[in-house]
Amino acid sequence: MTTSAPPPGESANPAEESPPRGWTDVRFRPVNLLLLLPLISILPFLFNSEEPTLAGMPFFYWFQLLVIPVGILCTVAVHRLTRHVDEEGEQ
Amino acid sequence: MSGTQTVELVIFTLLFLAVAAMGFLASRWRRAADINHLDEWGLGGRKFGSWVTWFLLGGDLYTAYTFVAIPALLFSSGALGFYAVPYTIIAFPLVMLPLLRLWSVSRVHGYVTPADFVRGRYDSPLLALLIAITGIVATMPYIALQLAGLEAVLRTIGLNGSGFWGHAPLFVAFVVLAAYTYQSGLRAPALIAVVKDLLIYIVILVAIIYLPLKLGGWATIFDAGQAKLSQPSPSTGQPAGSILLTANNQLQYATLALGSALALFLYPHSVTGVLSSQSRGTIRRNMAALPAYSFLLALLALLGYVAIAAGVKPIVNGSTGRGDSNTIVPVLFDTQFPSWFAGIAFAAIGIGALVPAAIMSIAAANLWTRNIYKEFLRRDATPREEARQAKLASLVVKVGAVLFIVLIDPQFSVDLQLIGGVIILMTLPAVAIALYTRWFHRWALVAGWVAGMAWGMYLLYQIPNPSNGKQHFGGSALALDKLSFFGWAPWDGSKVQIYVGFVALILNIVVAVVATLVLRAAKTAEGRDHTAVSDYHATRVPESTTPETVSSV
Repeated sequence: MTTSAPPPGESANPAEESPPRGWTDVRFRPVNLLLLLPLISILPFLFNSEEPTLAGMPFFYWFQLLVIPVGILCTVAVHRLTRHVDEEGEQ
Repeated sequence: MSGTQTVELVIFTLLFLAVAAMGFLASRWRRAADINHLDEWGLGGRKFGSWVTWFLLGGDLYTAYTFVAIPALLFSSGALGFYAVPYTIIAFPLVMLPLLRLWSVSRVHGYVTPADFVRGRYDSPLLALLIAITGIVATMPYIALQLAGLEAVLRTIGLNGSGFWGHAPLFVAFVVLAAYTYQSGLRAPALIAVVKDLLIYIVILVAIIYLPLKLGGWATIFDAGQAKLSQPSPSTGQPAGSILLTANNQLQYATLALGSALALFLYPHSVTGVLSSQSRGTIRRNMAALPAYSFLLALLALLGYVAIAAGVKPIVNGSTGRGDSNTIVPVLFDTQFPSWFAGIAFAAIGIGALVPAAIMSIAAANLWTRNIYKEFLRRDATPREEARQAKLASLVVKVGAVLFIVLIDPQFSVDLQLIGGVIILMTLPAVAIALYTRWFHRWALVAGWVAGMAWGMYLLYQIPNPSNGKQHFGGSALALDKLSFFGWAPWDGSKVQIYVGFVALILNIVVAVVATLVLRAAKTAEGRDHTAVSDYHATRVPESTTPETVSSV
């Protein structure tokens, strides 16, 4: 219940019969945004060119190869920065 | 290429037999008190740690079909085929957080399938049935494609008979597969996946270092690729492709990668892999480590250009009498390497078909058992009966997949797989969005599913494939000028292409939102939410509940 987006109606009236309509215990952390960084690899207008080549490989190909470790680093970062939550169990 | 390659055949058979033996012995591995429980047979006891899960999910997602089809796509159409790389780069970061929520809620309530979750969340067996059927229908052609990959290898080895009995080697391979899956459940593919990955890694690393050296370096290889792809195709007069994207297929590249990434963990077999892991930490570590396979996939994809540079010609399929571009990677190994190494490579691809085929049939069997059999046919089924039912269903699913290959042109199963991706994407609002909010009304989700599915199928039907003269179901790339809303065509004349699944998903969500507002205004019953707010971050099953009592919610 941290963000504001399509689902309106905060789960303000828990006494109501109908099930809750708001976000279900969403815990947003700014560091999670790192997970969006790899999306750079689906913006081909940024890297759709032959030059500069690397060892004969056009930019289009080696740039995307380069994003693989970037994606891994982002995921590892989020994992390490948030794992204490899991290790301590539910709060 | 006629006749049987003896050395290759012997090595392939030996490795295949070794793996089959492992499959049968797997039932003793981390043996449970009672294998005749669906949690044991269908989820390996929910005890797999980080390493096993890594191999299992890897075996699930990087399949024989991937190994033969992605290079074949670069071979025949160029840069667009490389979409598989960004697809696997973005998939794991994007799905990590939703999967953790799915794992937690499933652990607390004993859910075995995604449809189980939908059933609990929306209190609607009907919506769950819809999700289960969607999953089974999308999985069947996927299993069939694994067989197509296996057959491509068998035909390269020389087992390229004609007619019905030309498929005989495939039957043998599948009877073996069916037998050990029946016996050992998810433990068999989990164990075999380790061997498969070792073989694949060795083969690809050798290929990707040795072949460019032999053929004159990457620059030569890309030049050969560009030269062949830019030749006008005899049937259309247009170039077949390019080693770079064009102005018209960049949007297709992006939406296809994104749509495939979102669909990946909606497939029941990927969910099976996730739910069988022992903790949230296992999933987190895996989502970080799984992209390591993307390197492998990227290198493998480039073998498509290597095959062009090496002058590979696809084999003519003895059963259909047409050239099969799926054979280019096997042929590349066959012509460029000594036969013993080619034999290992073929075994790697063949075993790469068996692992996902086993997991997929288990996942489909779980769906049948939990969401159709237990829900509608035998409400009081005991865990033992559930496990028995699932074992039988896994056999039926595999027979169905074999029939696909025998009765239907393999080209058609590729189309079905394409359609399968669009189909499974339609479950995103009911499964993935539901992990975050129960805002949508359950009947609105049904309405969105129907609308998205109908429109998606209609759009796919409209896409021709000029290179083989087909009028319909010719691919997943839709030219924007085909999009019209009751006669209003905002992109009339545009040749820019977009992924059909993406367009259909947008319609699905829009319809679901509108229908939710309408149904809520009409005060239609919403049903109970059987899940609790605290379930979505749970790290273990609450002390007071046993999985069994909860699973029959």
